[in-house]
Amino acid sequence: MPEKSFDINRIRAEIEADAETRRRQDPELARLERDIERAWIDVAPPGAAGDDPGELLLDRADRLALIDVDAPIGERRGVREVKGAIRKATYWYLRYVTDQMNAFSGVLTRLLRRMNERLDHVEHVVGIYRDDRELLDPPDAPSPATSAAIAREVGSGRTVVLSCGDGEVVAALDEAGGSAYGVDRDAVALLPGVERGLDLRTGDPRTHLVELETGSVDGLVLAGFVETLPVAMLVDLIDISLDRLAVGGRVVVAVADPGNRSPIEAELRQGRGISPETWAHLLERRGAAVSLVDSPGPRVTRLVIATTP
Amino acid sequence: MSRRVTFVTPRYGADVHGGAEQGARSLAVGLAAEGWDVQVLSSCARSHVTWADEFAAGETLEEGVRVNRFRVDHPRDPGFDRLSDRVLPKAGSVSSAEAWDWIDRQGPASAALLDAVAEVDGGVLGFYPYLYQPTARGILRARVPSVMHGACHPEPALGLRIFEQVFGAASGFAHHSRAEQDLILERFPSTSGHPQVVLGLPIEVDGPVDPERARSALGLGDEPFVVALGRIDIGKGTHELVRRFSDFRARTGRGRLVLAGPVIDALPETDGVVVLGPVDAEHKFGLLAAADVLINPSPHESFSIVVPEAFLVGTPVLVNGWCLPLREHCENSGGGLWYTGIADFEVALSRLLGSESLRQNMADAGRRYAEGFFCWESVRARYEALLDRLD
Repeated sequence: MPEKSFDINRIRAEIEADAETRRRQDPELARLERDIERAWIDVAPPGAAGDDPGELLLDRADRLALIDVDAPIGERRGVREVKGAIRKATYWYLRYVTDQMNAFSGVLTRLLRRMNERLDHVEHVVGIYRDDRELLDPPDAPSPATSAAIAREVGSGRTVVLSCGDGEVVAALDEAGGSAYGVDRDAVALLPGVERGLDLRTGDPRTHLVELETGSVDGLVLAGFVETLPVAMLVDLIDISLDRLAVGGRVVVAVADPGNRSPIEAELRQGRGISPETWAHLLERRGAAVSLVDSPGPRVTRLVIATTP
Repeated sequence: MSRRVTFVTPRYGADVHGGAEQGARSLAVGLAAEGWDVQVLSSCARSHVTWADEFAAGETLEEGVRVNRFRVDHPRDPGFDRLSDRVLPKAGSVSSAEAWDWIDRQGPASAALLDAVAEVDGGVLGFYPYLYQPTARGILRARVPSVMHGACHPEPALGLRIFEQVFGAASGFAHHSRAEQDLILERFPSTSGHPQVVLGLPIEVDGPVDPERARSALGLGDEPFVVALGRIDIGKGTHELVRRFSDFRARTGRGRLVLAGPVIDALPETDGVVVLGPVDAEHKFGLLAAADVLINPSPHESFSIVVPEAFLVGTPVLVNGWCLPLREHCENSGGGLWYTGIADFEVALSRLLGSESLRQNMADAGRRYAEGFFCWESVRARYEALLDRLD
């Protein structure tokens, strides 16, 4: 008998969560999978590996950098002979020019590779894309009481919750009559919510936000992951968020104040995350109407509510 | 007045294996049955490994289609693999002369076939697939509008720069999948202005669907099994699948994998794995229907006929997620799952084997998708719309 509640997206989310649990339990398996991924990225079509790996582009630049002096002459009798004669007559000249251009392109592509390596190094040292999950647990998801407060502020309409955890905020939004889904990097964290039937998806919240179309959502809830990003990225994120909202849409930011962090978290997350007041300031600077409202806590004590003009 | 289409393929015939060739045949036969004037120009070869002349040269009428076959100038060059090892790793930088030499030596090389292409003076030419001489050289000699049925997947040969000229010469494009279209647009951005359509292929169950008879004829007994149907070939991912399945079986103590298809690369004997070799049309759909799951481990497909075929006989699929057209079938239908690593392969397979209701639901979703998108009427309408834009 077919299941009544067949939902292939839920099945996929559950499989991904189970697989992720296995990877965490078995480091050897995780290592093997990373090797498989590396092998595949070299031959995979664009899109298969998620984010476009820069290495593929650099390889393509290498290939395209070489100018072929041996122009095709086609098949048609007569035309072929004429083109062949032109090719032969101009070969010495074109070759002289293309040799110089190929040498120049070769230097440029080597330089690109060098710059790429140095950029990787700088990013590593500065920690822009540092994955600190091994050093610290991710910020806790908003409590049920805070989730209910967020739902009251967002109202109805299509809402995306970025860093949804187990889906407490999504559930509160659904109960309030809205249509919400959540995105979180941690497949295991969102599994309980998936099993409750919530629309929760595995993915990078920032990438998901970037890929949304302009004006496509009525509400955005920013939580968790925004506490781990440096200020420069948060400023960009604010612009992207306001762009993705429909006219009159709302962003609700649910973050803990970095000033209340424990010494360990304060040191390891130095320069990452900003206070609700700073969020409010930045959103206002970008033209949104902003208010700060108290939240039941315990971790998130104030919510930033921004409405697009 | 009936429409006139001339398909150009390296090989043609009911017993010629190969996705692109089967695709060309199903489209040609379907259009001919609708009263179109359909002709096929092909070589006398049956095997893409030797290109030996196996069919008689000349014109025959096959399933309502006029088929003209031409002798090959020479069989596959024995030094071709060595040439490929030299050319393909630097495909993007070899000269045009070297690239054309690679195309010609790959075969099937037939000057008479190319002359016949050049003589077509009406209707539309449909070239299947991009990789071989009849398309690569033929499309440059076409005197009438041409449709490229590229059947492209990511492979080194696609990087040969002569293909910019070849794809640039096409008047329109019929893609097997959205993923193939994306690949072509990225590789040949100038094609974005040409009329094009994601056509897919017409899929039908053209043999008996009798699981019990297939089980009995193929000696499979009553035990459940999963099946992989297609060439048993390292390049098709079969050996990798056997390794993964073997690990899965060692860990879970269950499962049986049946491999059906011509054996190109022999496999070591493996516990729980049955190698049937080629299966005739009489039992193909029965075998698919008898399986709990069809697994397609191939990394390189532009469509994969067997996936919608499995959907039509009520079998869900598990596919290699690194192959985007396969993944596209699953995402669009809800009839399949995909894996990219070891953990998700095992979890997904466990899940599928452990729940009959899940398999049933997925199969139903898959059937709706295959019937909706790849029934003859739907494919013909898309093709007709494409040709309208070329007129």
